[in-house]
Amino acid sequence: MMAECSRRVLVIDDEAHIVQVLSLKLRNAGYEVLTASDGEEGYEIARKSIPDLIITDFQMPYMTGLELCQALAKETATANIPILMLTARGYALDDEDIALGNIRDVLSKPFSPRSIVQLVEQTLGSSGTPREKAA
Amino acid sequence: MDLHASLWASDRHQVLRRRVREAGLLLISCNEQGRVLPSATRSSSDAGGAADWFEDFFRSSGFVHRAIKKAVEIWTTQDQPAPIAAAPGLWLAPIPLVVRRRRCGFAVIIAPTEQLLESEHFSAICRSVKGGADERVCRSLLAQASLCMECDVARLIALVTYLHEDQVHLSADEQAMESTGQQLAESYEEINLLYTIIQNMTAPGMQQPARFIRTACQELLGTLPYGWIGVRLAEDPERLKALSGKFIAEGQVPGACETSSDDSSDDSMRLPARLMVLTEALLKQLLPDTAVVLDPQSNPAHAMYASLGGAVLIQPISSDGRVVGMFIAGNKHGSDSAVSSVDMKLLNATASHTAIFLENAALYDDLNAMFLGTLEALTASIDAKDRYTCGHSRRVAHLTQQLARAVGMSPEQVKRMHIAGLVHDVGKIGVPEHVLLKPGKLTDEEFAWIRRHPEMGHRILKDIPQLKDILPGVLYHHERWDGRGYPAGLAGEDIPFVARVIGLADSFDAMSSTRTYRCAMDRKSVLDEIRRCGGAQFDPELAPIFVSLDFTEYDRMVREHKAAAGPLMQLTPGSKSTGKEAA
Repeated sequence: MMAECSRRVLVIDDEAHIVQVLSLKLRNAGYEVLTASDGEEGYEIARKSIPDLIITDFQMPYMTGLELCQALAKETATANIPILMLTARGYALDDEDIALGNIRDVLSKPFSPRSIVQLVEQTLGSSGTPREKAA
Repeated sequence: MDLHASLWASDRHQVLRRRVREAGLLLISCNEQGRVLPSATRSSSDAGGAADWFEDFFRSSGFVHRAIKKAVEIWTTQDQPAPIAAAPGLWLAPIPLVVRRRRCGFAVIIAPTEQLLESEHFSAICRSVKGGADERVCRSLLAQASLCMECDVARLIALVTYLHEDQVHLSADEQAMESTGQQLAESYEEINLLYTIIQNMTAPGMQQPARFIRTACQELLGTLPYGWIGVRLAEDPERLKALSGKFIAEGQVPGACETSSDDSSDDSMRLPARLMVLTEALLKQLLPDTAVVLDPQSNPAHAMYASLGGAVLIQPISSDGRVVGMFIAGNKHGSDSAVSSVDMKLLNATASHTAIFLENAALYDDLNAMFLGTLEALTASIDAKDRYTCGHSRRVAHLTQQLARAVGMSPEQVKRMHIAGLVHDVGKIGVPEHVLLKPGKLTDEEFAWIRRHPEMGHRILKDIPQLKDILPGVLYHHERWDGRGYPAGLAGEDIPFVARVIGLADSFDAMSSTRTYRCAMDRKSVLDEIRRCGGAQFDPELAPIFVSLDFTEYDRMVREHKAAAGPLMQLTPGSKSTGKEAA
């Protein structure tokens, strides 16, 4: 069996408390957590460090969550990173938009931090990740 | 003030500026184009005097301004902007100012060293000072200032840069703390809202559904940033009873006014007729469980809803897959006026609770109506045994509750008194029909049957826990104030209050009706008789209150009961005779 290496999750949100809460819960669950405060920074970090999973907000400065997902989908290195999208929007996102990126789930705020950690576990458990494939 | 300026004017940066000056350096901020930004107003804690002169000297120098502009041109091309000597002994070092990861200018460290005093550029600087500056005076003032040594400049600049970076991190952490605290406070409010609503779903609340809805609106309005939040209920009298078609809201509803009703239990508002029509039509279009946002300003298809005053969030209240009402939240204020998912989730949860509440309230109403209906049917069937007493129980119940209200009992107590009045004669079911209907004088044995009906009634009802409090009314309604009544011969205040009230109502109805043994007495004689018997047969305090009651409704009931009994009377011709009736 392959040794359990620490999985890397990138959390992107311009709201500091969301980043705080998610980082805390994910670190406690044994994940390595990277953070970014807008879509553009998230994009740079994602390309540089190829995380196993990305949790990103939808509405952010410079680059929205959706634009980020679509940009990542265009590059082979990042195209397969599973993404969980958070949204504070009152209405649902378009299915067509979601289909353009590797978005596995969309959660609307407020969400249960516990269930997000579960969702991360589920998502990572069910799919081989780019880093693992490379290993 | 732009972001940059506000960053620079923050307390934290003012402290840094002061500290740096103590080290013989200056901090001057400029925008991305290298234009120097005005300094913040000096605080009283600034050292003043020589230190102020030092800052003013460089700040007002055109030479320095030009040097900064030129330096910024170079720095903006560099990945890692490095210090530049603007003149021998005058160093400029950049600290990039970053807001939201975007560089918006520089805080420039101005580091004059002792070399500057010897430099020929010093005269140029003095000449460039606004309004002119005397070179000799400036030189001597500057010599007194703690100028740094050329060899220390790099180290000092590095230190100040680190200090500045720490300040920025501190500021960011402070902001994160503040936003987290703010969010925590909001989350508490949301939790509290849900607690309050769940608490209000208890049984006593069931009798006041309008109040439940009003409280829900109040709590929502306190938690969410909207100008008004209301509930419009569908026209559905069967399910919603009194709430059908009502509009209950908190906050400033466009065009609405509170109902000017004397009835304090009515919490509803009156919407202008066209809004009522509009919202009724809207209710019919809603899908259960699907919230909608109506935005007349940005969506032409919603133009017809402009009278709701801007964008509104609509959350249906549905029960059994049917829309029975909707929450409407309008006039969102605050930094983000778009409807958020938090708003929707809270409104959705509240609507689900409201739906359950309305359903329970309807069930409660149904149960209550069923209970009362069953009692009425039971007593009506007893009344029906004796054609002359048709409707007697309901009339006594009505008078009992009227008198109870007149003496100031609570609405809840009045309801119980009504039930007591309704069932007071239930024991007559145990009296043989030939005794009950006998035309003519009763024998002692027959009269003994009649006298047994209070106890029989008591025995019939005593095992129903919900009727425990009204049993005394059944058992003792034939007691008399002077102690000559039956079955126990109680006197005065020993007779339970409910029994004294029923006794009055019972006698009034008996005297006012035609009986097998006599004709109905007229109203005046009945009231005179009651007045006369106060202190003998009746409670002397209750009798005068009773005679002053309004008997309009009673008379209406008599007419109704007569009409209902009419055909029956014709089928079985009545007979004339004597006293079986109580009084």
